[in-house]
Amino acid sequence: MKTEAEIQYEKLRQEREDYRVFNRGGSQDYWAYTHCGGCYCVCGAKVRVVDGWPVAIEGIPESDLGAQGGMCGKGVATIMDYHDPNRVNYPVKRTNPKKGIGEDPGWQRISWEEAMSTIAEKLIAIKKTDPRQLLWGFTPSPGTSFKATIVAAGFFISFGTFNRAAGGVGTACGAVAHHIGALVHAAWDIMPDYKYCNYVLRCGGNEGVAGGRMLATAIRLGAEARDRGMKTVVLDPVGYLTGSKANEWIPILPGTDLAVFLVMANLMVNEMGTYDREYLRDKTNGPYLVGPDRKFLRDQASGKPLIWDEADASAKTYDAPTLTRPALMGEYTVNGNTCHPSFQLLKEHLKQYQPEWAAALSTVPAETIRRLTRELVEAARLGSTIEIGGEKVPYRPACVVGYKGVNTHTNGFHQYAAMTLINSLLGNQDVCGGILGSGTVRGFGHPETGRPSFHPYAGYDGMLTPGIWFSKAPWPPPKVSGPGLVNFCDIFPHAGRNPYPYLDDWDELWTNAGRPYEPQALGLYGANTVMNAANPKPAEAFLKKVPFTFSINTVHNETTEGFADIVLPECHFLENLDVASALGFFFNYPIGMEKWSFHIGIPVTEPKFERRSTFDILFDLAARCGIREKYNGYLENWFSTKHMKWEQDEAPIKQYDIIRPEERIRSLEFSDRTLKYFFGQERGLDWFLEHGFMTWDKKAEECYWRYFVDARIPIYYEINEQDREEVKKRAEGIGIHMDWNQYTGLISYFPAAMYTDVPPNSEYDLVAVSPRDVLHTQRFSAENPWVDEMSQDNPYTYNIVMNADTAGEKGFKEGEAISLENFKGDRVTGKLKLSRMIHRKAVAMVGLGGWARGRPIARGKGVNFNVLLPADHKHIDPICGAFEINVMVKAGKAEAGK
Amino acid sequence: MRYGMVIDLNKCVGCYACVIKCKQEHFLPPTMEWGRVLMSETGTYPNITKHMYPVLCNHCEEPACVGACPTNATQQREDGIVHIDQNKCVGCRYCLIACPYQVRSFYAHEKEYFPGQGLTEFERIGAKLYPLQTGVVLKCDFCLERVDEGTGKGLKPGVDIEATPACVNICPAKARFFGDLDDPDGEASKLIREKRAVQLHPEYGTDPSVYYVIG
Repeated sequence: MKTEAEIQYEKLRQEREDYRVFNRGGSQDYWAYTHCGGCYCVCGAKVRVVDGWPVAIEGIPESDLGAQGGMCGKGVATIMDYHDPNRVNYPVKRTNPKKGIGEDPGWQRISWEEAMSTIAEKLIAIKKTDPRQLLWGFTPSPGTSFKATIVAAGFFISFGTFNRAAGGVGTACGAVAHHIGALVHAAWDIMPDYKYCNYVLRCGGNEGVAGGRMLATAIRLGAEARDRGMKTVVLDPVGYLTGSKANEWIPILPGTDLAVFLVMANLMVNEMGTYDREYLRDKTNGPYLVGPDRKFLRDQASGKPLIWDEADASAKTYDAPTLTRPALMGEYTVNGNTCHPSFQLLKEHLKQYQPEWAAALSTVPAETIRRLTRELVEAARLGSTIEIGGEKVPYRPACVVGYKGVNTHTNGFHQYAAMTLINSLLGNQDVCGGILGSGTVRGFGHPETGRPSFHPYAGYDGMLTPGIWFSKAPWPPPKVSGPGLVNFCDIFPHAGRNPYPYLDDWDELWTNAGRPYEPQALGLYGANTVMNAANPKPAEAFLKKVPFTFSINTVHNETTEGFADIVLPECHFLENLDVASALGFFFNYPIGMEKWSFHIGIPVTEPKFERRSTFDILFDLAARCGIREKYNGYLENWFSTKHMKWEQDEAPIKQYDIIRPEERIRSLEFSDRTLKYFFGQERGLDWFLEHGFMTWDKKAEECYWRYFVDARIPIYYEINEQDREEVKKRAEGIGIHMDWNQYTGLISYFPAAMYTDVPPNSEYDLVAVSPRDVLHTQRFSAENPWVDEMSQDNPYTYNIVMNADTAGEKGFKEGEAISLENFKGDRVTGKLKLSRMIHRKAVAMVGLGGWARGRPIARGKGVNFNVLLPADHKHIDPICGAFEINVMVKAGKAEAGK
Repeated sequence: MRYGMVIDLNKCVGCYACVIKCKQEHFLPPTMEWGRVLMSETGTYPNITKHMYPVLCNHCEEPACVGACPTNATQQREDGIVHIDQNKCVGCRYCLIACPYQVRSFYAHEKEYFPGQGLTEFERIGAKLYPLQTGVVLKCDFCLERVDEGTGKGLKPGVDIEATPACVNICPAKARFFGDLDDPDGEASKLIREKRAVQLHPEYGTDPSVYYVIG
């Protein structure tokens, strides 16, 4: 009879056998292909291994995913993550029953068997009552395989819980950017078509300089474009990042971009009269007729929206074969209703937004707004075409682009929608030179197999629908329901990642909702919730009450130490097999006409200690919890590209191509089958072990797909009109009071909450902002000693950055310790870095300032910006749940000793 | 033959990849940086320019450090690379004072990357593959081991990765170029000529082999 320890050892040994595949023939010093696990970009990489230990990493010149041989500093530094002696090497359990920020967990090493059986026991009990009692979150920890989030999410979805309590992605994530990215580009994000673009108006985001999205690729393409002569104008309160590489930096007050965008749109349609009418007519819902109730006029039989056809002066469904000349303008009567094309309403609506008005709000001079509009329109070359790859496509080499600064405000939905509207008016979306969905969302697959393939298509109301999506499906529009989820994403159907339940008022609201159930367990893949959910205090209040928390992680962090009961040691990406990262275009598909580059994570060395791959951990846990069949189904759907969405029940599986429900294969076999399914029997894992990655040419119809896909995008958000009353009823019912006027189809001005927190001209006279830093973006990297060293060199990283003139007026000096305090009395302190490349009313700091014992290098470094953020429903966007990430503060000299 | 480097500041974004890669390539100890990124701002609000200068040893044609070295530890090769023979260096640090660009470091004593937690395998392997002596001065050597090994295989520095300094290969912005400045057809020479690249502080009279494309 084998003991439990022996059984467990045998299981681990079998998994280790898998990894013998990756032994490079006994060589003591070799280079091996894999991908970088430094962030979501997952660039192609090769690694030098000496005596079984990775010692160097660089990019792959032949791959377009990344910097073509180069690599960003954060990626280079990942080698040191691997060697961190503070890594989690064995399963551990908490011995200190007290939970909270700063508590010493008193870790005690336990066996894998004890860890897994304890977790399984808790989960099985939950599943028997209500699976929603299991909450989950993710964002990989330093060095993990980033897209393992795909397999981690699948585990929890298979378990039966959509209760995602955003564990890692938090305040800075693209709540609106991803949502509107889906509706307009079928994509997670957007990026200029750097190869052809000549003019970029950049409004935050810092991609190509410091922002994490497609980091190394964007740095390479951005540099190449600057060298070519592409002009960049940066509209941003912080100028010392992207502004430092721009032709012009224009300081703007945070959260007021919306006013500038609306004025630009007004100037284009009402003053200049220069916009892409053909694009609006054929590719947007601009011709959809809107009735007096501000909803679409619909065909009584089919329910489809109607369009006025000027050819025969009649109303037809948007997809009627006889529709030839959709009207964008005018007033019509249909079935006794007076109605207008939505563009007509928008055009009239925009007239109220005048340059002088926006100037007063934003501090951007009215004449500058006019000039920027002229420059943008002239650079866009409306009406022009270009031949790419044998296809004639529209050529619009100008765009507006933004990310965090645009979308993370209480007016984030309208702000991002207004920015997007400008691009729609230019007709530059997913055409040559304009703004592209990032990564490319239309793929025909490898030329020899046609796999993997994915396609956006026309869905509900003829609107663009992503063919692949990771998180709650944005379209067709989810129904308003609930409250039944702790994140309230059911009440707010267009919110996929709001900061609940980590907000001050969550407990009160949950009580008002009748406490449908109590969270019993939280499963985290990576993630450091208490550092990046919203504000650490409400995160602590919530996490303390969750009876059982387990985490799969490479290192301990503030969240595991404060709140986890069990931590499982995960493989670093250099010792992990990861086929998931290749499939999912979020930040890691080559942009524009650059070649498709399919990289997988290939272990360059065998896992040390008792670390296990996430995939194998979850396979094991799924079997123990009795959900392996369902989990296999999710994986079959995703990896065979049959149904690449979270919502699984809609798609019963008719044919199994990779994994059958009853099979109990491990990660190695699954990865091999997936690769063979994509590329043929001869190109499985062995082929990738030798060749490293797959690359093939991209077609113009894939990259510039807009006119090859018959689907429309919104410039009028009718769904807001449909949802307003129901959302209001359900939200008000539990005590959430928001500005429901934001649920309007017409993109409109609303002030960001930070400006309503305090009276005008109060002592809270500075706006605190948190720009991304090139070494601290899209992951926690502060524990890395190389990153730490550079951060100490870089005066803009660990310090509080304030405008030199403002500091002078306040009597502050360079290097002085100051404090910043919000209207609630929350305070941070830090050393002052004076700059003139920051708005006079802004003060900036990178979100850092950790305290975990398990991260001794990171501990106490930098400033914890999140401490300053008021965290309640007054500070989230009522449509997409974006968190207000700026706050008014007052500055003072720090008290001695603090 | 004179090896040199051109750094295009229009392309550089100050991501520190070059500095970190250099530390990785040469297994440099904590706080020692053979390359650095200097930052400054000039102008009047809001028309400000932020400058980011990645600096390294300039491998000057007339190096002040060589003359200052009493033991001939710092030497200039025929191909222009200025390097230090650790076995000859006595750690007097005259060269540190003589170098007007402050790109030399004194390696006083061994340090751990994770203080108090012992050396990592990375550090142990580094000590074997790339031994650095304490009590000596160290600096960028244009990755001469890569250059020599590469040219030995018939590869061309600046063109072939294996023969090119690590910081040039790793730059994600492709802002760095390396090559023989005496070769008028080389990429580096062409950039100097066509983009009017400049040396830092030419008034020091050391004739640096590192050039910068500005603006």
